[in-house]
Amino acid sequence: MRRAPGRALWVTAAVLVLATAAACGSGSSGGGGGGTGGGGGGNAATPVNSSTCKSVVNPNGQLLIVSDLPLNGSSSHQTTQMNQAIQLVLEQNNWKAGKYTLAFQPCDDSTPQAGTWDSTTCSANANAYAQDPSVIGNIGTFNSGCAELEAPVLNQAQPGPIAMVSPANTWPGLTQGTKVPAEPSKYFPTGTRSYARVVAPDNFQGPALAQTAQGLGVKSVYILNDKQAYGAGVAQYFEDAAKKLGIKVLGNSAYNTKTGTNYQALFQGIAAKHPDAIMVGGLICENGGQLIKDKVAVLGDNQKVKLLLPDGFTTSQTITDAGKASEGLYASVAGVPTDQLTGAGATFVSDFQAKYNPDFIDPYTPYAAAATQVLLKAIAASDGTRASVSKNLFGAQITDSVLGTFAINDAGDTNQGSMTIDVAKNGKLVTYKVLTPPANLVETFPDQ
Amino acid sequence: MSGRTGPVGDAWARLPKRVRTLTLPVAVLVLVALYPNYYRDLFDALGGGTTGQLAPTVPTMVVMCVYVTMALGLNVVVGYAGLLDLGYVAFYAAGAYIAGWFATLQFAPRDVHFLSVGVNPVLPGLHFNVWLLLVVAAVFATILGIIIGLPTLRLRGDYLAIVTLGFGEIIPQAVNNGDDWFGHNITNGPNGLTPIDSLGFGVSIHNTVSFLPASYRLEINSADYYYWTGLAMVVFTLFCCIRLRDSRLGRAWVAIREDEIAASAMGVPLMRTKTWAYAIGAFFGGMAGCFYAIFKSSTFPQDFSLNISIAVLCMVILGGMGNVWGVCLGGALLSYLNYQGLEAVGNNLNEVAGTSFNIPQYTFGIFGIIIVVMMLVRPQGLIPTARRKIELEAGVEGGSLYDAEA
Amino acid sequence: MTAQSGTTRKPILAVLPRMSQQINRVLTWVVAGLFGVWVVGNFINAPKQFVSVFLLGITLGCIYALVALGYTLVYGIIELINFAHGDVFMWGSMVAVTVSVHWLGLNGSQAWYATAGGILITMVVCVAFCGTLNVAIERVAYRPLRNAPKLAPLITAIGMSFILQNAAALVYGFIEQPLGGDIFPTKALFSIGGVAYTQKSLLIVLITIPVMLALTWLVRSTRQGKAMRAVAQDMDASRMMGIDVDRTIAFTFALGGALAGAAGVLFVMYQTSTRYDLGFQLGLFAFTAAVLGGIGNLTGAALGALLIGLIQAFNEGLSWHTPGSSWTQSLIFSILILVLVFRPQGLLGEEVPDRA
Repeated sequence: MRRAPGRALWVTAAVLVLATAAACGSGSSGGGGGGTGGGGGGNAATPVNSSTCKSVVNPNGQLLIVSDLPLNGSSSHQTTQMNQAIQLVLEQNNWKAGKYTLAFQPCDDSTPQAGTWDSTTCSANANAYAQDPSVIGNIGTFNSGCAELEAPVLNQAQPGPIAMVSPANTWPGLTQGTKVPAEPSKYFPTGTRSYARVVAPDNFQGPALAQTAQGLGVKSVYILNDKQAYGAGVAQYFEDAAKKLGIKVLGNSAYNTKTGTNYQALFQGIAAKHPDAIMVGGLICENGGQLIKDKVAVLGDNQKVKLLLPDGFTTSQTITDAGKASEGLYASVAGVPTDQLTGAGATFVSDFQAKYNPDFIDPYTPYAAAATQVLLKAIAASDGTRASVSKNLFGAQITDSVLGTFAINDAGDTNQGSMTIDVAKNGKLVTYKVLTPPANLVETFPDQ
Repeated sequence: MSGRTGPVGDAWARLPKRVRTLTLPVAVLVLVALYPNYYRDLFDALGGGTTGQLAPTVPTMVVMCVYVTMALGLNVVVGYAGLLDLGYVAFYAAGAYIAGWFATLQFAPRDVHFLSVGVNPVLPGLHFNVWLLLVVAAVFATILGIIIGLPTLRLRGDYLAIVTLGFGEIIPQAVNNGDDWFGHNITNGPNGLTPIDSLGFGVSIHNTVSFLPASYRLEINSADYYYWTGLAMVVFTLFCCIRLRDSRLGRAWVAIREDEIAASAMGVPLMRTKTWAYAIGAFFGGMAGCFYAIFKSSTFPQDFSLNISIAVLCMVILGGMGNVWGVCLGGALLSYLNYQGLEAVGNNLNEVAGTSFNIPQYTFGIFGIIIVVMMLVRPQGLIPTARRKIELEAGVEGGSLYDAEA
Repeated sequence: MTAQSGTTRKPILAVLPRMSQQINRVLTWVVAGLFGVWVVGNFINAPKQFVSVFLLGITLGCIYALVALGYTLVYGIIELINFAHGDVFMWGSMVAVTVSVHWLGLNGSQAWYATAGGILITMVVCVAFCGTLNVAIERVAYRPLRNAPKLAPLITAIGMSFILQNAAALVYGFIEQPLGGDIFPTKALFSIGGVAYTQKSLLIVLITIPVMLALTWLVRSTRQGKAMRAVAQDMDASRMMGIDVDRTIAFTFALGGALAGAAGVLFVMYQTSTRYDLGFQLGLFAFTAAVLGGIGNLTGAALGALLIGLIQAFNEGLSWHTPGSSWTQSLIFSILILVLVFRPQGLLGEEVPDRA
């Protein structure tokens, strides 16, 4: 036993020596690999090496575009269509952006067990993109939480920041200041921005719902949130906007999202406050159906006490889960409904319908197409390096896109702020109205 | 091995015993440490593409290192001392949040840079030396372990399991509600803490010793560096576990595991010995959690579900409770399956059969089957300890091994 | 645990357990007192609301009670925390949806006697299914380990829980299984402060009470029940007395499973939907109830379940010093921990030296 420390030292020394040797060896080989693969020579793109990534479409392209979306769980219906939309746009552009040929690889940032995005997978994906010199841009993510993780990794990638264009992130802090410390600068450690999005953030969606409430004659509202990044965020923006519109906010509290929870006690507590409306910041897959049913059971139907929901509920699953209780609820979509798109958008919708023949085109599908168009434009304007593509994302004027003409500002936000409000009628979500919240309701904070 | 004859065998037998016993572990370690250098060859050797996915990528190897460390830590509690801990994830969370608090911008504009390496010095927020944080996280988790352990370790085995499970459920919820603890935003709630500073050696060390990177994240092969660091963490843990097992404390644990009353009568201080097991297990859990959070550059409340505790327990059981080599094997195997293996196997099967069955959806069902089958068929684990094998095969006369019961 | 006072060194760790007797008693009263103040305070604050939330808590408590009894029965006889019990309950709710909606086509629009008959058939099928399932689990996973160290079956039970959950996901999918609409009548009986008390809620209570009475009779007065109590007291002695121990244990599991099946039906009739991961949280709540009442004690389990149901409802529905819905789990698990640490015998259990 006395001798053991000696043995330990011996082992430790051996490990250190070996690790050092390994580090040297790999360091040089890694450098060599980076030299041959980068820059857009004539070679075909190297696929991202991760089991979460599917096989490459058009593998002969030089530059690789990846998509990073949760392909498992409740949002898989939406994300499958988004990948199809990206592919359709690339095909329509003959897999080319300017003088560069492109390859496309869809990656998954969710785990099946979780059924939603997973922080380990997001981080591993981002590292895998950063290490693949062929990756020029990322269309993603779907969830803001995942984007918070990927943005700084992609921003610090060598030899240059990888451009990221999200079709669906609605957390304002990814591009602008919020109440959270150091947003958005903490997502861009290099100091240069590399993230843009084509949807309007929650500081538009919250006010749009609040305006809807005002239009419905709501005088007082009670807010529930799921205590998750997205739900609590949109609930907060709704609350602030509702107060500005003179609606009395009776409370903003969290609800338990575990399966099997009964919400009747919760609503009985709320009933004592006699609200005209309930707003829920959350997702349908978090026991949302039960929440709606219990709301109707305790407070009465959605005519009597209005129910306002953000886009986490804007899917046909809500109708299935809540059954009759869903009748008359209002749910928002960040953007314009697919049936109201015009010009290139309408063409896209009919092309998409013809090619994939889905039952129903998800509201986010055209946004995935638009995100692809933004990225393609940036690549075409670039010199083929990552840094140059990232730089060209900003200040771009996108004309005649699927979403019409819009611009990406220097922060990476779109100048389109249209929101759609749907209403559940006879077991279907139909468009109630499209509105753009006025600037005085859209809460902004200075960048930090 | 000494029974072997022939010139090679003789030469082998003449080597000092220390060299002989260390040959295998060191050889394995060398092979494992060089993994990033031959990963590509392995990928190609497996046929690339979908079949190549079966080869664990380097980031998967980093995750495996984290889980092996946690499994080794839990092994001290469950395997050595025989205390069933279903809330091990609490210590992992503690470690992760130490990294989250002291190496992010969470507490900006209160700016403190303390020996920080590879971090832009003008960055707001708290930025402590990340290596130091690994130690701080481990110590913090240890203290938490003692605080949780003091009142609960008096309980008998199954009650202890439930209490730890309770803690394992309370802590994530407390963290999730932690954006408003009496009006203070401590944990940033469900938004998590991100980004966390990278490991690294700083510019001055990098300039002197060029192969030590200033900041891992800025290297093209950053995962390789994390992997070697993770491997060093595993080796350190393994070393500690072996030394502890052979120590006075380790023998006290075994005594308690076998018969609490007899151990107590022999003068083994029960509470103190159990608390030590708990604290040391927590130490490694905290360290692993901190390392993992730094690697992922984030920490979120939803990372700390009961599933993690169960998965780590499953690793310990599969490998063989009490046997460090078995636990390493179990940890590596199951974390590989969880993070890449099942998905890769599923992709391959689907490609061959032309189906689209999603195997990883049922990962925990598969883990459940592993637990049940192992407990029924081979309760001593893949690589059992000699002592444990006797206990489990011979059964116990008139009562439990773990409880102070007659 | 008295043995360690003989150790030579006396750091705080060794002193604590000896002081704990007095501390326990004081703390128990303090906690009970605070709880009383909290309840009374809430009542004064909003009496009408209090009554409606109280009635809701009773309904929840009834469902918890049926599940908690299953935990307590099994624990009472083989000292195993059957982690898989919550998932047996989940299977009960799943089968209830299959039988009532997909086989019998119930949707609440049928005449009352057809609905009642349909529910009765559903109940019988679910009770039989869950009873059989629980016996099968015991036979396959627990019986071979009866002589193994006590942690072995506990770990196996955790594994079984995951298997049952994933099997349900495989069969029914990862999405909610809706009932389609209320099958139980939902007419309001009376209304307090604008909140209706429905026939549905009353029915839950009215079905639970006879089930619990029948169980009590079964355990107290029948031959099989006596055998159960004998095995619970001393397995070896009862074997020598000619009791078939294996059969008695299997019977206990069947009984527990049957209760879980009944609870599953009631739950799904009340909530109108279920999902594969239902068993976990609800199972833990029910287990907490069993521990709170004194595990192994039938009356205790029922009492504990009502308390847990009430605490949950009060926490979520009332407003005077309540932490709110986002803390429900933490609140209930804190109760679990406090009870186990300071009063492991529960409210009604008798003091057993090796548990303290």
